[in-house]
Amino acid sequence: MKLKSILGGVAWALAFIASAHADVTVNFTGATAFQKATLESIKARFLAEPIATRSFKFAHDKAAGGFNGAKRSIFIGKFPGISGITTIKCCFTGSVEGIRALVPVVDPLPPTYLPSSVLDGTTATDTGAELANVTTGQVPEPSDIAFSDVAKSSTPYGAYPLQPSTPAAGVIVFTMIGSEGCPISNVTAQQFRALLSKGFQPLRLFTGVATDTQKVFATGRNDGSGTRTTYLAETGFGITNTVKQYVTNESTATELTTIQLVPAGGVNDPALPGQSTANASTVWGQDVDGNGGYDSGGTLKGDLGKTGTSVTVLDEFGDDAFGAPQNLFLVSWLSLNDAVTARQNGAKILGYNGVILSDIAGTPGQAGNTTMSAADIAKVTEGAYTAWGYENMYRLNSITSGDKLAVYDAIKSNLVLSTAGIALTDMHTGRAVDGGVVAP
Amino acid sequence: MKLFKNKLRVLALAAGSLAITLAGANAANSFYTPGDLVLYFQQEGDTDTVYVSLGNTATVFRDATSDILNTINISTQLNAAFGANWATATNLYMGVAGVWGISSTNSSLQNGDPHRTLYVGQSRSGVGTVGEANSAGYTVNTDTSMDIGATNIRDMNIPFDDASGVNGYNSAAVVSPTSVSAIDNKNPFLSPGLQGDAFGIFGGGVQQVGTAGTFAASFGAVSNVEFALDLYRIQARNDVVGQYGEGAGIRSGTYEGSLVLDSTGNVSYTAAVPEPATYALFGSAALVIGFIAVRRRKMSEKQS
Repeated sequence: MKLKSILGGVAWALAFIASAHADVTVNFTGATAFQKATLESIKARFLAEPIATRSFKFAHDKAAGGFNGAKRSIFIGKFPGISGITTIKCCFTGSVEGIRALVPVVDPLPPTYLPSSVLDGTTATDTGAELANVTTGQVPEPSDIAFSDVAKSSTPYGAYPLQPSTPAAGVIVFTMIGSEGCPISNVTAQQFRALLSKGFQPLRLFTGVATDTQKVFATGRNDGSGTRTTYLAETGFGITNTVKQYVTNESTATELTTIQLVPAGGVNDPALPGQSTANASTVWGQDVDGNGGYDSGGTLKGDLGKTGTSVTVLDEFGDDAFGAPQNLFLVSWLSLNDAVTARQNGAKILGYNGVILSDIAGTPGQAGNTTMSAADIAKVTEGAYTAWGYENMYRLNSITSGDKLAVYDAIKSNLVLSTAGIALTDMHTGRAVDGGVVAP
Repeated sequence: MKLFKNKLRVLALAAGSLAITLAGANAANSFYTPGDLVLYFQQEGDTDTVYVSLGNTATVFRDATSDILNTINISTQLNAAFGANWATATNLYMGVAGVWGISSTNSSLQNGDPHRTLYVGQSRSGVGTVGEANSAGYTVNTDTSMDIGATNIRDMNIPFDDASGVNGYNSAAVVSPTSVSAIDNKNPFLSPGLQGDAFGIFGGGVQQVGTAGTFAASFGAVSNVEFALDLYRIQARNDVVGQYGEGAGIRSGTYEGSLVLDSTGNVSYTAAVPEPATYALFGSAALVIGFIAVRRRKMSEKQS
């Protein structure tokens, strides 16, 4: 073990000394729905370096072993095909936000990355030395590469040139999902459009049972999210149309206690407990009441794993909307990665337009399957299940050669598709645009 | 909380206006407030649209008792957006819409109107009788459709409101390029000359298309009329205590008056004239009130 560490250290030092002038830093941003796959792909590339020269270290903002769920992370070491030291930084802020970070527009929420210095005291190893729970010191930096669940043309930045012309790297699968205890089994595009139009609907709209008078509330992401763009496109609601969504202001570990129709700006004046300006929708210039949403899938999937038996529902002004606590359910749309976590916490994976990925849907509250079965995958690849989009990998228009392009190509060619992903080569159907017709 | 927020909005508006006056800094369009009636124009194939704020839907147009002549002249904006021959363009469309709030649950009022009270125009079939509707009117089938309509009317006016100041709009009438404006988006065309669902709920659109000649030589006191729209008020709720239209019908349009544009760019409003039946109703009510008053006086005299 000691010999191995020494050899690793020597290799690290040699590599550093021999190629100090060829060091490269590449900043990744974009899709939170694809962050697990992105991080696992990056780590896998460092591990692909031959053992004799393999040496890297990484830091992230999650607990030890949880790097693939980190919003911010940094990897430093020997990357295959690059002579010097390669530093890869990641900050996942959402697909549309990611594309915004690559184009020359004013970005009020630029990605902020962990500085290299956080790993100064960590010695690289051939398996990757891990430094967990690093949450301070991040600074805004320009981004180089962005993953996006949607095409650039589905964002306000379609006119800006980015590389490459064919950015699709894989397919990412989504699902409708209900909060813990939700009696709904399926959501149609029509029902979801009705839900987003009003913010809530009676349960009977989904169950067809006239006596189901409880309310179902819409929840979801803000407009920097590719996940949101996908559900607005797929269901026919319209990418640029405003929605009415609720977010959780207050909750316990297991119970929702207060939800609110997201006010413009994300907060009331004065701010109410639990509100956040990060929930505002700023991408399309439509920061208006109802149109905000969660700025990350992490909080959303956590809230979906909670029950809502006595919830105070606030309107956009902060007033009690119904005058009494409600016994309610939330319905949203998540990537399968996030949905599996939510399901394990009690949420219910639902069918979409009558088709459900039944094996991964499993049973709420149980560990169950964490990857799609062959039968589930076939529903996507053959076209029966259409809640999916292409995972696109964009890079700055200026990156046309050199080490940054080498990193881009290496990651894109060796994606670890994880729970939510399907390889392009496995697809027997396709679509021309986000939300477009799915056909062979 | 509502009152507080409203006060904040007033303060914010005042502060915004002050900022414009003092420094010309970016701020919301001080000539538009949600709840104002917005006249809007689009031309098929053109890269410009026009927004015009006409004043509050309720205080200016609801139950107006007299006509409002030449309230604003927009010839400068129409010329700039669509050329000097806009009055004879056969692919120029004029619409009008307004809503002040979109909440499904909040019971606050603006000048007596609950959230989701829609004010929407409809093309007049012909000159007809001034002061009376000459269009089919509107019926909205579901409460969720009222949400959709309210949200889309609000959203059409977001660029005009220009809350962040990025568009630099600070005028009652602005020419807004289609890359910024939401007029085209909320009033789509199915094909050339065929309007789709305006605001997501009004099939066939809500606008009037221009003609090579004039719409009418005269309409009340207005001459050389190019466009004439009937204005309808459609309320989503009738259960808010103290609201205008409390207990009255919901999701059905009531005619308020007609908006008219003449060939020189002047905008006028002809108020609805109560129908004879309404006069009869008023008369009956007056008789009943009088009868009760007389009876009370007599009873009072007996008791004393």
